[in-house]
Amino acid sequence: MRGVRVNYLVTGLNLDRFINYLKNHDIKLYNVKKLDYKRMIIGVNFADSKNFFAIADKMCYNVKKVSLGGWGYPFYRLLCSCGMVIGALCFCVLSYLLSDLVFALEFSGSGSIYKNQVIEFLEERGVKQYSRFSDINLKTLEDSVLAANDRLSFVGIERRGNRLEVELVLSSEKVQTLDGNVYALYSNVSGVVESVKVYRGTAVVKVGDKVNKGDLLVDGYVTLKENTVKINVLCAVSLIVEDTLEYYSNKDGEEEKAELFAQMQVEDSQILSSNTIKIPKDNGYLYIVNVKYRCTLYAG
Amino acid sequence: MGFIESIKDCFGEWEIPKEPIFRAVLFGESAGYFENVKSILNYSENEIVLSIKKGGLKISGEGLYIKKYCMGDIVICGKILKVERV
Repeated sequence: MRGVRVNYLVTGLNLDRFINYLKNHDIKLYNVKKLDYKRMIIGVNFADSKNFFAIADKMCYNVKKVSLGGWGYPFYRLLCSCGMVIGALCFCVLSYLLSDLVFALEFSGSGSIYKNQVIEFLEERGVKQYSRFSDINLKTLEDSVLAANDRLSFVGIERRGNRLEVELVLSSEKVQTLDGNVYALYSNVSGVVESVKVYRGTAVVKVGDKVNKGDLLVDGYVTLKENTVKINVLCAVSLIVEDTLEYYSNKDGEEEKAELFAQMQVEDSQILSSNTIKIPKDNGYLYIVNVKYRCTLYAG
Repeated sequence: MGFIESIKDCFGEWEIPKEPIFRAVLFGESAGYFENVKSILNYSENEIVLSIKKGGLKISGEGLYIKKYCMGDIVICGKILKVERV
């Protein structure tokens, strides 16, 4: 080990002879200090320690290691405790790697009753136990959870150590109730049928059909053994609607405002995509927003 | 002409041997560097006697100790008061 110096306490008579003997055997000596006529402190290189001991033993001197020094001493200590160094390095690397993992999802707030739906939603977006924090955009996730659940008025997602804390607050709006006296479901928009769920009644349209405003979607009858019976319906039909909305402003660069305006127009529906085209008109700008959204119609 | 060359010119080539018996460099009172040391004849806090090719060299002072000693070179630290040929 280069750069490491070992200081020994040598005890014996005729120490000058010992010093000369060491020098003659090409052992470099450092900080030779005589304490009294038969004791001295002598420093030798770590690499020469073996020879030094052999010579001291041969010449019947008592040698005791006192201390270690030199510029290489810190490295020597590290090498001696390499297990600890490797352990510390492993700990640092593991801590760094594990700090990016989600260990648990915790829910709080009045909206926790929708915990299972939110967990399912998060899993669809790749947010689950042992997923990486670096892959999650918390702000976007909050917005998408809120948009996906009408019953929630606030969603807060934040990181606490290795946990993802989700705060859900229920909406104070009253739940719409079904009155049970509806005998048909008509479309109030034009679009393409995305899904049809009929619990009672008969579906008149199927997935992929194009429907216009006012078209019958689910009819209130059922055929039982060649008899057709009129019944009230219980169903949900979702439509994909493409619409164009216009927004006029004197100012330039108000695309975001125009999209917000479009969102307000489609109200509770879930916007799937939108793009805005700006056309100069009458000293101002006409923003044409092409919006695609999901509209779910219920009857029952 | 360099400093050593000018000294050689003054004293003549025969005066300064190519390999000197010893060489001593003193750094004020605090340290001294000596070359061509054969061995240490006597070593104490107040006096160190070195053996050189012809005779010896006595270094007197206070709190003397050997800072480094190898390959015939020695560095002595402490308060060096006197260096003399013996």
